[in-house]
Amino acid sequence: MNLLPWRTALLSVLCLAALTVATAKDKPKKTKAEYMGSVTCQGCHEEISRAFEKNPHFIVESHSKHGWKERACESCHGPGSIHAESASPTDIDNPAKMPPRKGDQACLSCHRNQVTQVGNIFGGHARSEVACTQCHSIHDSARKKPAEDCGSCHVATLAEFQKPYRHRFQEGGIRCVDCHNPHGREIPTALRVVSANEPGCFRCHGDKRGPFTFEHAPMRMEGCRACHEPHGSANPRMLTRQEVRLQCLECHSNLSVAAGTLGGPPPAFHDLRSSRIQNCTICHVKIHGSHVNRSLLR
Amino acid sequence: MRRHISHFAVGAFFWPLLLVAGQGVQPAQSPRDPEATSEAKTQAQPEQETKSKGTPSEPAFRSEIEVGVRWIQAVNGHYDTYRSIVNLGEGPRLTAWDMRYDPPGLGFLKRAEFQGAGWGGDPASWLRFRAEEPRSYRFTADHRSTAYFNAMPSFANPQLARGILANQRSFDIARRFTELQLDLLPTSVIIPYVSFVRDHGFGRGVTGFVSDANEYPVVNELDDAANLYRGGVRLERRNFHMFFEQGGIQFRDNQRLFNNGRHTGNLAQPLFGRTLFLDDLLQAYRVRGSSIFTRGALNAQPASWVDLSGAFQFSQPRNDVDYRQTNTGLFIDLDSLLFLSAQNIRLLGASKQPHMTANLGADLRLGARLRWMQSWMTDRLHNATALRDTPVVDRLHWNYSQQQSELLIDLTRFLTLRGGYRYVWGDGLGRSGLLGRTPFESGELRRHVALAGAALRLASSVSLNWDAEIARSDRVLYRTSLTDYERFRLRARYQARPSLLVYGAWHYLDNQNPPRFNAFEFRNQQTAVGIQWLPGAKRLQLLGEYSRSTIRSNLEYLTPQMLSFRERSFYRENAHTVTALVSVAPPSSWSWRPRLSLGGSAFLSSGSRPTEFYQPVVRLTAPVVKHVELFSEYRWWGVAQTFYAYEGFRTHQGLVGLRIY
Repeated sequence: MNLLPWRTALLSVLCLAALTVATAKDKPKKTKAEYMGSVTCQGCHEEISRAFEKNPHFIVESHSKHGWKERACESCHGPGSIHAESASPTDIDNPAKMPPRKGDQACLSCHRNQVTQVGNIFGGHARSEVACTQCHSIHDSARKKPAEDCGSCHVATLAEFQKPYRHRFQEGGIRCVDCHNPHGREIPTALRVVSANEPGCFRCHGDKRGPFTFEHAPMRMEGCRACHEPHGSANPRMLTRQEVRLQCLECHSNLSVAAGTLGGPPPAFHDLRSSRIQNCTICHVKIHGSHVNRSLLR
Repeated sequence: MRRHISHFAVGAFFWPLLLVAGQGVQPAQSPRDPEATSEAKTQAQPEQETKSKGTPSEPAFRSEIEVGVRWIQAVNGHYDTYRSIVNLGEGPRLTAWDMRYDPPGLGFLKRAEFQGAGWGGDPASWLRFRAEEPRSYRFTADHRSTAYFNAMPSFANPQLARGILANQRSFDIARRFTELQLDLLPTSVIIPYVSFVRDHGFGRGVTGFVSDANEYPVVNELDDAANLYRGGVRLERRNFHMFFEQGGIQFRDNQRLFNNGRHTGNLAQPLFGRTLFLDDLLQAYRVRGSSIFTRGALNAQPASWVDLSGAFQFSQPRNDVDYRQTNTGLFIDLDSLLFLSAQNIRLLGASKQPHMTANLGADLRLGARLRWMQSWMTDRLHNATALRDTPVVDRLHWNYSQQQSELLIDLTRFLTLRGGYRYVWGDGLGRSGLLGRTPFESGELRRHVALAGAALRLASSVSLNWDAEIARSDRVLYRTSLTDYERFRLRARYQARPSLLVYGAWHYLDNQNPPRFNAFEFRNQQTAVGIQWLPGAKRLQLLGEYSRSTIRSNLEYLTPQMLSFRERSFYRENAHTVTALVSVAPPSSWSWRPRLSLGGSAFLSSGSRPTEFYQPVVRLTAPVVKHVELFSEYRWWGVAQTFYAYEGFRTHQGLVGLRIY
């Protein structure tokens, strides 16, 4: 086995630990503060206040139904009387500077019930403690498109869209959040769901949804990625192999009964020396599933 | 919004970069550091700040519209490949618009937004509308239209150049997707909502009509649509949130295949002394489907140290099929070895697929430094189908479950370590192949995964995230499934200055299936780095990204005609992707400030399918009069795939237009 990744990983952890211990500081103790109201905040943070008026969060300030009328700033930042006196950043809670698990609580106290939030702890962002504020802007008046920020972390994924066969991401025909749910996952794959619990691919590819009288089992068990590379590929139709026959035969070569895997070989009349046979989907046209034919021929 | 419009003006392949550029130093505005944010705004977003300061005097209605004309030099190479990959056409275009209305006072409408892009014949166009009064309702409408063209003669067949059979499947179709949603916000506790989604695909193509011993490429007419209705209610208390949703789908698929005139198909030689042919064909699918579904979820925080969540989804789609086939010509029935001059087939099918998904989770914060996340998920799908009036039935079962425990420890304020364990298990049953010993075959999944990770956050300037998964499987479903694998991810961001962001990512996956699983080897490594440097208040912008990825896959397969003979399937890809953009403008003291952008992106790969894909671009924007700006763009497209003679093209493309704002 190649030990290079292990060494790299170990070295990374050691560096992290050393760096962190060297820079760690004790958190200062806080005395009890009182609520002052947003008007007090506005005195110093005028720009933020003005921008905030155009932000959807302004409803918290302007309406009593959330319980923080005229105290919207302190609904996230906590009571600000001490900070108002000292003007010190250390005297006020700043969710964006807290560890994500603490900072996010301010957001989740209202946004816990977003439909996208379901399955939060199954998602990689929750496990890696990516804070809400890393993608979302809380104060700005400008309309944010958090999904479009994905590329600055998922830079390798963004590069895949430069391949010739890809989803129309660059043309604006599709966005990251059309397929992915950045807040969590409800199904085993990291995809948004459509019609309760189907993978998000069927949102646009409704003709592949089925149910089919004769399903192609990997569609259901392994998902579209069993054959397709959805972000981009050098192979037509975003396949993971350069030729269709290899795509099919890698699975349909299963003679090893002991292994208990699915996918038996095709009968011997599939003579690969014939160009007719090499392109499997010329005959097996309903490769995603057929309504009437067991062999997916029609 | 200006940044959004610029995506389309500049063109497809700089969309991601320009997006970031348009956001100025958005990534630099790490919300972790308000001082840095403030500085960033001051240095790199003067215009936006000015707008912000001027909020009280902003007009209630604001708009930006971009119109342009695109032209394309004659495409060298294969035109169908150009259409399959790019498909941008010539002529006038409404490239983008953005309108926003913020009426003063407290009316029924507090804000309305209307945006769109790509209209006038482009393959990807969209529009969005949003209206809201935050105290009473929120309405959103989203419509997208996508054209999909795909016709590549040598697709999957590098020997086409030697006169061997061309690909016989192509598409020229469009999809229309419309989504409407209304959220009612009468109180903060009960929030009802309704939604309607329509997805419609239609168009033509070429596909195969398959008869025993021969197949004929014929015209294919596609027409499918699905209407989805859903409604629900959210209940929101401070520490207790839940929602319940009920919905339904209606689905139809009216695909048809035609042929009129003699067609000898792909079988060149006579069979038993006679040449098979097709004269007339009508093959029609009439599929009608429906589904009801129910969803519910609960999120609760019974104590400050614990979050509990659970969700349940159930759907039961079903389809009824009425298939008719009428064809004349000369065919053979291989079962009886009889020649036929006509066939008239009608098949009625039905399928039903109950599908249940559920999950439970607990997030426990045990003290100031410890966090324990425990979760469980299951996904169970059973497909039961039959062709009516025949003994043909089919089944597919798929039961998947996973449970995961993960412990996170804050070693310091800046460093979090985590470790855990995931167990994945499942079983599947599907139809056997023609050589199967039993009608159905089954498989199982048993996978043990060790999890580890670390997150480092140093102030607002450095963040580093490391992930590791090491899996060992007792059983897998397919011989290509990942069995014994190691996966590592490392992501880093360094905000050196408000105007300078450096970021990178590394991903490594190594799978080595043991011999009992046919020794499938798969290795994928991706390394990517990027830099955004935006000094001098938008006078200069420099963006660059580089990605290097490798894929290496080895797997033996059986050639069907000689089952004892094993061949090896190799897949190799060594790819470099480079994207760069430099944008310059004169000093802000100049009264006339054009902007020139130069850049390009390239994808170069070697291996199983060597590919070169170049997309350089030059863009010039210049103010004409107040509120009117000229934009122009030149692009070159060049694709070449060495082994595939027909899959390559190159062309020049220009775009000139006006932005009115």
